[in-house]
Amino acid sequence: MGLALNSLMPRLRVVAAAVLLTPVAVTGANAQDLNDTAASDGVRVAYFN
Amino acid sequence: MNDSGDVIGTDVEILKSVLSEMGLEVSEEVATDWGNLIPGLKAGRYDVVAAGMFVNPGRCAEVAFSEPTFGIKATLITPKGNPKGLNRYEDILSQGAVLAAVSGTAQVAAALDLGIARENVQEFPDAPTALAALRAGRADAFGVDAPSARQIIANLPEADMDMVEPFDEIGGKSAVDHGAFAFRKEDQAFVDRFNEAMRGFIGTDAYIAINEAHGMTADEAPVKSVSELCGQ
Repeated sequence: MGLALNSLMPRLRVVAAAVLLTPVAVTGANAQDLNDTAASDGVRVAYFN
Repeated sequence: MNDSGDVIGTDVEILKSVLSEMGLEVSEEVATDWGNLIPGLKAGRYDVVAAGMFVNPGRCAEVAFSEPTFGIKATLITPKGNPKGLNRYEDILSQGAVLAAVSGTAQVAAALDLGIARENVQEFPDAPTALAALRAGRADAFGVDAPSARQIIANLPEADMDMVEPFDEIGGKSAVDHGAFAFRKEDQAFVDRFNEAMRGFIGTDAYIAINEAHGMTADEAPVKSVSELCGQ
């Protein structure tokens, strides 16, 4: 058992590193602060229909 | 929306003016149902809600409000001459009079909260049916917010109604509904900048002109800060 786990460890480390390096998916204006997007893209407004 | 296709209204126009002060502009305008305003904001479909949304602690938990742009007081519409002398909700309570109100509004909740008997709070689907109840003698006063009351009185076919002096408390509790712009919570840094620019805009001739064009008066100036309204 201990031997099997030891042989798995390098692979587990690689998987863990891959998870940490994967960028978190963020969409739309949430990807950046509104201070940044407003200056370049303008401000999107919703009003009551 | 006006004939030119521009979105008009106090909030949208104040928003554009304040953004202009910040050197920014509106890039997209989205019309949506009331129930979708906050979910759409949180989902990132737009950046700000300009819908005269009232600030309350429940909504404060969901969004970052700007400082309020207006504060709307309550009032009563009565038959001409106010024959029963009903000037406050407290008068309705003490006289056992009947209040008409539009279903689902803050006026219904305030009346019941004050202790007006359920059978003395008559709910109607809209203002015309509430006014009809007043004319028929089935209710003694119509509880409504002050700007709506002014608009109703101004558009009456016959001058058969009056509105009482607006009041800011009912039963010792605030009866002033404050409206503000709603942003995503993670955009608080932007909201801080926005508030700074808005402080410089409120009270200017341009601000007053926007409000007056939509039936708002100096009586609708906010009296509380967003921190007070959010209970912080």
